Formats: sequence, C-alpha cells, structure tokens
Amino acid sequence: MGIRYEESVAVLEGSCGIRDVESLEEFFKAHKEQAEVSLAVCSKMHTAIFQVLRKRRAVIIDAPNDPFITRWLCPFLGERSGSMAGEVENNNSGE
Amino acid sequence: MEHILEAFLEESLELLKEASSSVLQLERDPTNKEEIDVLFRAMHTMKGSSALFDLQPMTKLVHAAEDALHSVRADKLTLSSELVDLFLECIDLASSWVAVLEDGSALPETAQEEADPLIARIKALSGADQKHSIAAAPLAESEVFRDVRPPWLQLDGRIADFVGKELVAFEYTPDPGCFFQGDDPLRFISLVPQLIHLEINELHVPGESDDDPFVCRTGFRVVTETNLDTLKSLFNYVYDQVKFYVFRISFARGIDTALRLLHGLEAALEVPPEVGVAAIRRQSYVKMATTLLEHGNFPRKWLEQFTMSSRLALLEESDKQLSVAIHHIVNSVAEAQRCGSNLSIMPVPIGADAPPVVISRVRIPEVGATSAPRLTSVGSQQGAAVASDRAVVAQPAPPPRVPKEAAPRPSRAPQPAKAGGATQRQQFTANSYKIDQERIDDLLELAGELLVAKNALPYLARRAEELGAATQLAREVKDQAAILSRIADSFHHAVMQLRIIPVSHVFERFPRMVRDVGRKLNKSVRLEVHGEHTEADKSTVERVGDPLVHVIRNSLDHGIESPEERAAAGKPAEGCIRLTAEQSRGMLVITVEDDGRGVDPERVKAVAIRRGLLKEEDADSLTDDQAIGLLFQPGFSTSETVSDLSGRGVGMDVVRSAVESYGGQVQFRSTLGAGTAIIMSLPLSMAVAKVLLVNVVGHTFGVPFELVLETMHVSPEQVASVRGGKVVSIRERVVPVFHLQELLQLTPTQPEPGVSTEAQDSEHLTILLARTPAGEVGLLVDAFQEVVDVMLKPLTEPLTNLRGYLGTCLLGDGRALLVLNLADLT
Repeated sequence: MGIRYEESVAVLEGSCGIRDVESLEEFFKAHKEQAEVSLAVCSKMHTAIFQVLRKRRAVIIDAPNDPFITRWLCPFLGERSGSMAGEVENNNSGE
Repeated sequence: MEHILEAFLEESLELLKEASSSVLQLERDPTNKEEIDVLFRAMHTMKGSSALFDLQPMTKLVHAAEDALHSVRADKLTLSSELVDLFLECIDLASSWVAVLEDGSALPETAQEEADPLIARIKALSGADQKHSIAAAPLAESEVFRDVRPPWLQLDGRIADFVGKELVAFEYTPDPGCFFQGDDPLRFISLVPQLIHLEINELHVPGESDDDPFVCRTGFRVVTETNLDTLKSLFNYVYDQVKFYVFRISFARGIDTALRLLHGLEAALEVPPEVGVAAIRRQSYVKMATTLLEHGNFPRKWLEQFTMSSRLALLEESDKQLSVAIHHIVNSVAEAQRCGSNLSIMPVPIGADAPPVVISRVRIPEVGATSAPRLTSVGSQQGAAVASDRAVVAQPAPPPRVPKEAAPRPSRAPQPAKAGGATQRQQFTANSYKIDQERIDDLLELAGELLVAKNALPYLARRAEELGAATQLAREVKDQAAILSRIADSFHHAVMQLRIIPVSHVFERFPRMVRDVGRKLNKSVRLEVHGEHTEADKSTVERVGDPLVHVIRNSLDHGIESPEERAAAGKPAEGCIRLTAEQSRGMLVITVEDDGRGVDPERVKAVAIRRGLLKEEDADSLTDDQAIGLLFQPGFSTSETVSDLSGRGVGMDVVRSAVESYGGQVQFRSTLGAGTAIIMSLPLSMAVAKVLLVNVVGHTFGVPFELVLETMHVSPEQVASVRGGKVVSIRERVVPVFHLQELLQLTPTQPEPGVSTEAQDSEHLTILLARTPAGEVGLLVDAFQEVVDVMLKPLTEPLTNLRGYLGTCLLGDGRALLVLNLADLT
C-alpha cells in the first residue's frame, strides 16, 4: 500500500513508507493550500511521512481509524485548518 | 492475540516477503546497492521489533543476518551464492516461526537449536575478521538517570494518575541520517507499550536544507509505564540516541498549600453563611476545589468523585454535604502528602520542577472566616497559566479529528447530497474495510439468487402469453424483467468486485520456487512474470495456484534442458520460463511458456504404446497435436527417471482435471527443440455461469456457454460414418459427431414441462459444435433454448462420483438443471 493521489487529496493507504515521501512532497508543492489528506485507511506512517504532514500542516479531511495515529499522532497534525494542537490544549485545561 | 503482537506478525510477513524478493534479486545482481539496503532494512526492522516480544531466537537470527549485510554494505564481504542461500534459509526459518506465532502458539522449544547452526554458518561466512560486529562490540550505554524526573515533563492530572508507580521517561533524538540506516523512529515509538505521554518535537538540523524529506528532524519525549529493560531491548540499536529517566511520581511542593486551602474551605462551611449568600458560597467553594483538583496534579478520579458529590450537594443545597465532599478530598490529599515523604520525591536536576503552582496566589480563607473567599479569579488565572504553556503534548484519547467547518469539499466517495456536517462526513470517511469473507460470500449467494429469480420473469411472461392473458400484461412483465435484469446484473457485478484480487497473490511464490528447484536440478532458469496485476475472482485466483505449481515444476523438470544440452543446442545456458496472465473473452488466461526442449510427438507415442494407452496400429494416424494430447491421459509421464519434483505419474492429467473441474480448459502447444506453452483458461468468476439450454428426448440440459462454438442445422447427408463413428463435414473440417442421447444413455420420456416438443425433423439435424479437450465435437440434440445465467453448484453426495456432469442449478421456473461436463462425455 502507499499513497494514492486523487486531485488535491492524498489518500494514505495501509502502511506508508519512506518511498512515498518524495511524491508526498511534490503533491504538497503542487497543491499548496488546496492540498488535503485522508488518513482513514492509513495504518502506519514512516517518520518521514509524518514530518512532511506536520511541516505542511496538512488539512486532514478523513480522520484515521488506526488507534495509534488517532491518539498519539493526530494532535501534531493538521494545524492549518483549526488547530489540532489547540484541541489538546483544551483537553489539558480539563474541559 | 495481543494487538501489538498481531501488528508485529503482519509486519514481519511483509518484511520477510520483501526480504525474500530482495535476496532473489541480489542473487542475479549481487552489487545492487538498493536491494542490499532493502534487505538490510528488513532485517534491521525485524530485529528491533522481535526484541520487544520474548523471541530471542528470532532476534538473534535476524541480527546475524543483519551483521553480515552490514559488512556487505561496507564492501567488506562479498555476497556469495552461499551467503544468499543462508539468507534464504534464515528467511524460511523466520517465516515458519511467524506462522507458528500466528496460530497463537509460542516459538517451538527447539527454536534456538534450529537457529544456532544457521547463525554460526552466517558468522563463519562473514568471517572472524569482521571489524564491525554489533554482537562483539557492546554498544555504548545510553544515559539512564535514576530517581530523576525529566526536566521537560510537565506534571498534570493524567500523569498524576500514576502516583507512586515507577515510570520510565525517555528522550529520543534520532540521528538526522537515520532514515538511511533503515530506521523509522516513529515505528519504534509505536511499539512502546503502555504509552502515557508523547511529545513530538521538530528539531533543527544545522547544515541541512529544511526541504530535504530524507533528513530526520523529529525528536520524541515519551513517558511509559513499561519497564526499562523492555525499552532497552526496543531501542537496542539506537541506544546512543536515547536518554532514559526512571522515576516515581509524587506531588510537587504545592501540596501543602492545597491542603491548607481545602482545610480552609471545610472550616468555612462550618460557619453559617450570611443571609442570602449560602448558594453563592457553595458554588464558589465547589469551583475553587474543582479548580484545585483540575490543576493541582492530582489523580483525575479525585476530580471525578468530587464533581459528583459536589453536584449533589449543590442540588440538595446542603452545606453539610459539601463539607463531607471536601473532607473526602482533604483526606485523600493528606494521605498523598503522607505517602509523598515515603515516595522519595525525585531530586529534579536542573531547576526544572513543575511550573509554579498558581493556586498559591489565591487568598486562603482563615479558619472560621465568615465571608466567602474571593474565588472568581482562580479559574481564569489557572486557565491563563495552562494556556501559556506552549508545550503541545498528545494525551490519551483526544476525539478523532474532523473538520470543524462543514465547508463543501470535492468528494471522493459517493456521499448523500446533504452530507456536510462533521458527523455526517465522519460516517463516510473510511473508504476501505476489512470484511469477513463469509459475509461477502453470503452477499454473493444472495446476488446469485437474485439473478436466478430474475430469470423467472421471462418465463412468466411467456406463460402469460401462452395462457392467453392480455398481451399488454405480458409486455409489461417483459419490460419489468428487463429493468430487474439490469439491476440484478449491476448488483451482482458490484458484489463480484468485492472478491476481485490480482493474480500476484498466487504468482509471488514462483520466483523462489523456480530458483530453488532450478538449483536442485543444476539448471539455471530465469522466471519472467507478466500481467501479475491481472485481476479475477478470489476463488479463481486461489484455485489456479496448485495446477500452476505443477505446470511450472514440469517445465523446470522436463522442459528446460541441462546447461550442457542447451549449449549443444546453441541456446543460452540460462533457460527462461515466462509466466503470463491476461483476461480474454471473460476468462482468466494463464500461460506458462518455456524455451526448453519441447515435446517430441514420436516419443510421446512410443511411451503411450508402451503404457498401453495407444494401440500401435493407431499411432501412425495420430497427428502431432493428438499425440501431444496423450500427455493429458491419466498416468502418462514421459520422464524416464522419476524425480521428486514431478513425474510421479500424476502429470498433466491432474492439471487438466483440476482446471476442468473449475469450468476451465488447458491447452498445450509445443515445438520440438524450441519450447512448450501451457495455456490455462479459467472463468474469471466461479460463482455464476452462463449456460446454453439444450433439449434431448424430452430432457433439458445445460452446456457451459464458453465451450459452445456454434449451433447449426445440417442435412443428414452431411453426416458420414467412418470406422463405426460419425463425422460431419463443416467448412472443410471433419468433426466427430455424437448423439447426446446415446452419450447420456437416455430413453425418450414425456417432455418435461416447459421443454420444447419440437421434434427432430428428418430433414435437418440439430448440432451443437463444442470445444472439448479432445478437440471440436458435434453433439446431436433435439433443440436449443435460451442462454441463462445460473448459480452452478457442484454435485453433492451421493452424486459426487457421477461422471458427465459439472453440477446442478435452479432455473427461473423452479426446475433443477444438470449442467454437462463435455470433457467427461466425449
């Protein structure tokens, strides 16, 4: 599995390894603000992929189903449209 | 099975598959650096993950392989064919263990004994002079701070849940170039059990462009409940990049202040409130205690308990109850304070205690004070303190991220037009599911029944006409039938798509098989695979596997010549087997072609005569194709020496009968000296078949439609008798003709209901021209009916041994239909 690109949406499928990272970079460069990412069926992502998603502040349109990604990685992703990190901060303040 | 072990096994299978394919590539091109890297990474990753589970033999085994590969990468060791064999043995052994673990068992007790000789051989081959040996050179100890809380760890309620427990925190700063070593830091982190805190930081890497995605610039700070030993084995190979802290959580200094505050509240409640402010006082006290519990680094359950009991007190408007609730926390905090001294609060190294406890800014009411303390600012101050803390940390269970706005976005999956809200969107997010195969099969069964039910409508329409019902009604039924037919077909197609897989599922085992068998036979053979992405129904793809194994082994054993023979024939020493898959005319066609010696028809005839399969006098009249067709006779084998690969007398006949039992066909083409091609065609899907209905003396039978070449009427003069048999001449070809009635040994009966009574008129004979393994044949029948889609079911007990029939199915009008197996009959 890997990354499937559907116009301005990158769909991460299954395990996304380092070999997918260059195409993901290209994708963000090409689509800039329009770029969106679907994590619904992503089960694993390489650190390099995570780095790119984080650096590009990817807009996550489909929430992941993988518990590790949901619980531990998502808070660091998707800051461009409504801060994910912010949600965690809210959590910290005991909402 | 534990989720984490399951994930490990799944990953290991993938890695082993990847490793196996790399080894095979490397065998052809030992200098391929890319493949060496892939192989190294696979071994390295497996070593790291296996260390997490008590799988010492596996860890040691892949470790040895990794060490050897390290030397290969450093050009200190040549990738000899012996080493390649050892790697493959390694992979095989590890794969067998993964299979055992998948079954839920532990590694066999003999695992270490099995691994040791292999490890020793790898080590012997990689040479004692290896400078680099991870096992020999102990790794640098990573830093471990005991009884020290990491300076970066902010205490909060969640961490406080673990008061008194020993926790391990670690800071992992991966090497910027670690991706090139095959490391995936995030994967290590995902394997840490009992994670309770994760902070992911962006690191600045001097001298590297920010745009280079191959530079690791991500650091991790982690707290976990697991023990240090587990973590040490997990991070065994990146030891120098990790700094560990082992500590127990206790309360920070603010605990005294908190206790004083709570005592103050409790005491204040003893005093009657001023008139009219009782409710406000209660609310203020609750808010104050709540704020303290929220931000005072206390276990969350204290807050939960207090929230419940204080709500009740507010509802009951009872100062007494509130006092009890607060007293309860006082007790807990006092207890914590008492234990705290025993918990040996960690000396925090570099002036990095928890941030100042803001609660100390609150004016503490004196015991016995009658006025409500000024509390309103507490919440906002605390809020500000927290909000100003920029450390972004992931904590357990934040809600899944969904876009907050319902802005319309380009849709990738069909969605209802009104879908827009976050909740609705969420419902349509996952675009792939793991579904139990049984459920898909049930759905398929239903789709098949729908197809059959739809076939009933044309029959009804015909009946309506026959019974003289209104023509209009019959027409309407027909129209509806057309609509239903379209829907049923689409539905069936959609369900079938769920079961579609590429043939690569079966093909991927062959490169290794060809290599191993080729070596065993001292033949050098290259396997070329084409069309491995061709798709077909899962059952078709799975069923083609075993026949293919046999055909490919046959090619290796009998087809490809020895290197000497090839040299003598002027062929390159390396033989080639080409495995091709394609879709053609609704069939999955798989071809196995070799450039070997081909089949000698004369030799086949001679063997057939010797085995009593052919009369000597008939031999001369056989064409080459017919002679080669003898290979498909049961028990035929041309191999002079029986090898352990094939030629045990279970030859091509087994392949043929297997493929035919699935409704397929096998063809054989061979050119002496140039090679052989075996072409297997199978229906793309096994579930629904098209059959042509034929009538014979009042009975109806089905003939698989893909075998039908032509239907025709001929005059009796066109049929001639030759050697006791009948033949018909069709467009200058002579085709044998059989009476289906005689083949099936049928006696004329009353026609079945719905069967055309059209008699075989004496002026014309009705012939079905069909394809069979023995070549084209003509079948004399009484009449043809329509072609229908049916759900073909194999014959069940006690009819399983009945020859001549592929299976049964139901017709739209409720009759059962027998579908003929022409290969058996002719």
